[in-house]
Amino acid sequence: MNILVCDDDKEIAAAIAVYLGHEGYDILQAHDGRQALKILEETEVHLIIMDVMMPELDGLRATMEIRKSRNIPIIMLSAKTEDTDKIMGLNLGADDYVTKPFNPLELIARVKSQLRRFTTLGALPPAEEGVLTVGGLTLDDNTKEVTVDGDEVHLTPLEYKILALLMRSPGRVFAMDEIYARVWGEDAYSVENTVSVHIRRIREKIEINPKEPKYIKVVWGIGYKMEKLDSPPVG
Amino acid sequence: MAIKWKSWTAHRSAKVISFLLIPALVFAFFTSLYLSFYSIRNSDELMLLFVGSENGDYFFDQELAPAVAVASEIAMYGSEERIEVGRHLEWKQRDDGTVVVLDTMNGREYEYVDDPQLLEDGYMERDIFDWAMRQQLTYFADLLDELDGYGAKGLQYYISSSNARTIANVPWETAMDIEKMPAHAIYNSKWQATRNRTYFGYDIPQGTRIYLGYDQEYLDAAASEWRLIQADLWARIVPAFFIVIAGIFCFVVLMAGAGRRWNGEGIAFRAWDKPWLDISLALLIAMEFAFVLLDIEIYDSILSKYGNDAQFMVFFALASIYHVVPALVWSVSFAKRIKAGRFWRHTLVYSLLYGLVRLARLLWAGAGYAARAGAVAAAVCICGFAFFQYLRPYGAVFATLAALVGAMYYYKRLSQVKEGAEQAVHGIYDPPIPVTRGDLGAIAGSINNISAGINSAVEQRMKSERMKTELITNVSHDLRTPLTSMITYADLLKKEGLDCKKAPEYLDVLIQKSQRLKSLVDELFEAAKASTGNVEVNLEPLNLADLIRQCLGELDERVQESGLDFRLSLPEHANVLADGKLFWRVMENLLGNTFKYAMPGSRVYIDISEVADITGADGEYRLDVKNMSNHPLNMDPAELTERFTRGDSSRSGEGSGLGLSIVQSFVEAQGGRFQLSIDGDLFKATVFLPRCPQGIPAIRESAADSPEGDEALPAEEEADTVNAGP
Repeated sequence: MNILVCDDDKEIAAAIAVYLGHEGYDILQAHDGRQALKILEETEVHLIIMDVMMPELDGLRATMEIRKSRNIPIIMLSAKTEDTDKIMGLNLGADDYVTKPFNPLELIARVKSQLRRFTTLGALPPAEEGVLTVGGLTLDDNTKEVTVDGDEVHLTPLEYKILALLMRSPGRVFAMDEIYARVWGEDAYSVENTVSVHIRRIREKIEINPKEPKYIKVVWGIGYKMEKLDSPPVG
Repeated sequence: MAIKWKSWTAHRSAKVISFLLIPALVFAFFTSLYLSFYSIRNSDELMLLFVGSENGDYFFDQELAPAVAVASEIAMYGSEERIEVGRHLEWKQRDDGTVVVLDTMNGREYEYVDDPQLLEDGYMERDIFDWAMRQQLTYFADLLDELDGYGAKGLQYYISSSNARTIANVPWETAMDIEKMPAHAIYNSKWQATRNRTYFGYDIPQGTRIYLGYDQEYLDAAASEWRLIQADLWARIVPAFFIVIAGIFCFVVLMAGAGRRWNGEGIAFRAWDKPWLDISLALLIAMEFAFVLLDIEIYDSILSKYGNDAQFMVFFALASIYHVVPALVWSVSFAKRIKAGRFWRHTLVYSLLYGLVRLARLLWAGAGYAARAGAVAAAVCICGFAFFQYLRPYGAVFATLAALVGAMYYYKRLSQVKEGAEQAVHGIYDPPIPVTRGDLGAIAGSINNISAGINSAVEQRMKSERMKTELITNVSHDLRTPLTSMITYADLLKKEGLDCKKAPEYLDVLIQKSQRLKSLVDELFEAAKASTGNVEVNLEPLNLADLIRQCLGELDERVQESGLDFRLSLPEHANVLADGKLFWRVMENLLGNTFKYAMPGSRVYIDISEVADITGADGEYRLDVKNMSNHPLNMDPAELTERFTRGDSSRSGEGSGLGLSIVQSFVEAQGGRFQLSIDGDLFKATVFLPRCPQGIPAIRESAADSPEGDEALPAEEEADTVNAGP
């Protein structure tokens, strides 16, 4: 597997190369957008880690350029931490957005997740009856199995029920009372933060970074929702 | 050229000479005209001046017409015999009974007069008839003399009648040839004349024949005489024409030079320029009128009776002076005023109107608005009444329309200013309100000034805000990049190992401190953004109680670690208007504060209560977070929200000192209030948020209506309980 790391800060590129090298990937390094495009022409690359602020051709433009012809996963890695920066990056074609300073383990997890989705999951058979899919998250109601990017996740029955409830209506906001009533089967009275704690635990199991959840989002003061995400790309 | 003209006309001598020349020229003009025309005694002769002798119609007519008139009258009287027998007189009784003698030729009536003079002269009542007859005889004799006079000049005449004597200066044989003469008039039962002229108005008796004629010899002589007179007249009039040209030139020079100084700028005014122009003009006109009366008097009483050329000259000289000099003085004064600009300012009419207008303005400015409205209403009423009085019924319509148009214009201005002011309130300063005269204009101008001031201040502010935001973003980026390398390489070292024995220990310090640096940078920029107002706030209705529960859930791990006893007192619903994400950051900081500084094992109270609003608005919710501090808090609560302030004894801890400052900024950004109070070791943070009256309807309803809503899952596991209560 070839991973292209593109960052104008050579030390950071080198450090990422070391981490990913340990994981057994082959690393190519570029220090601006043009170099990255040049390497892409010459070599087969399976994933790109792209800085945003770079000389010559910045990460956003380079991403747009790559997206014209290729579908490979691109993870943006930037010191620009504003929400607007993240939204712009994701809209322009990045698959993920990681802010600097980053946690190396998290970056590795995200790289793996993207690669799995891109290589293995693309060939999955079409969804069966009773199988719920949101992004890389799959819940099989027949076998009570939950997988994230193909890896099985172990949930308690309550956690499973909460997840199933949320996954049945992605995008819908469930009030805390409603979640409690439908999962526990009794009226929510003085339940304090029971639901919140369970949600948090589910997130710790299915999210790479529970503090920046990808699947279960908090709607502050109201409830929770399952993010509406596209199913993994086929082929 | 212009400068030269201007400068030499400004010279004193030019002015004096032209001033003196003008009366002289007027005198010369009238004298020359007098000398030309004095011999011409009637207007018909004057007309001949312009008639060529070869175009003789008028000339012949002129010569023949008086003769025709005289001959006709003679024919009508007939002869002395006919007059003496009273052929042209008759007795007539008037309506009042008096008996008079009527002259049938001219309609004159003769009556007996009780005039002693007449009686003395020997006329008796019976003699009136005789008297009238004598009058006719005298007149007839005059007519004969006149005809004779024409005859002496060359007229050939022959008047014959069946019942009167023939009056002629040629024998009948010659009279037969009159028909062939170049200018003739013949009556033989009807008029027949050269160039087919017709003579009306004479009731010539039957059987009368009149032959009148001038032969060629006479006419030629007369024509050449006229040509001489004409040539003579023209020879005198041409100089008069040049005199007029010279007079006009002198006048122009005088006007051009009026008020100009030979060696200086500006207009020089003299004592005689002082009076108002309209007053002096009235005076001038009165003077001229009086002088004209004087002229007529002089002519009537002296010149017409004993006038000779010398007397006429003297009269012309005097009249030229007293008519022309005052007019010139006024003209010079007028010219000066025009040159000085706006000559009407120096008129009594202007002065009066100006004074009135000033008085009105003074009164207007001093008057209150009620008085002004009253004045306007009164003016409208008076105008309307006047119009109605003099122009009815159109006046009333006109006055109404005028008042309507005035009111509409005023209202339009008012609404313009009002709209402009409203726009300014909403931050729209362009285009400015049109400024006109009057109070509304003044208000409009003031609003425009304020707007312009605010506008530039806002622009300045926005520019500096943009620069601040850019600075924050850039500095943030520049700090994070090296920090990334530090953290990453420290982590790599930890994994790969160092040879030194104590390396792992040192590395831990490095890692710990670089992580701390990271969180400091994060907080620093959050605080910077918050304090410069660069926070995006999306206020939504949400349940504060649920939000607190969610926060505690999110921070469950740290709650467990802290070993603190969290005691919640939350209502089911506490609907507020807030930004969920921002409030999460508020709670994260407040709870983080608690984790860091609360006495281990102590209780933390989180309460929400409703605060009724005495102002009658929607009221507020109050959130209290109370804990016992681990360290003594010997400082002012206000200082705690200052950036980088921490309790002295906690300085060694991991806080940045920015937490409470961020909390305050974020709470205020959401329209809430933040208070801190310290009572001994009791630390209390209070947040007030505005109540949301509408509640949170949309989501709850959609949840209730959801089709999946029925399949509630049975409880298979005991609900986990966080240590949120005893």
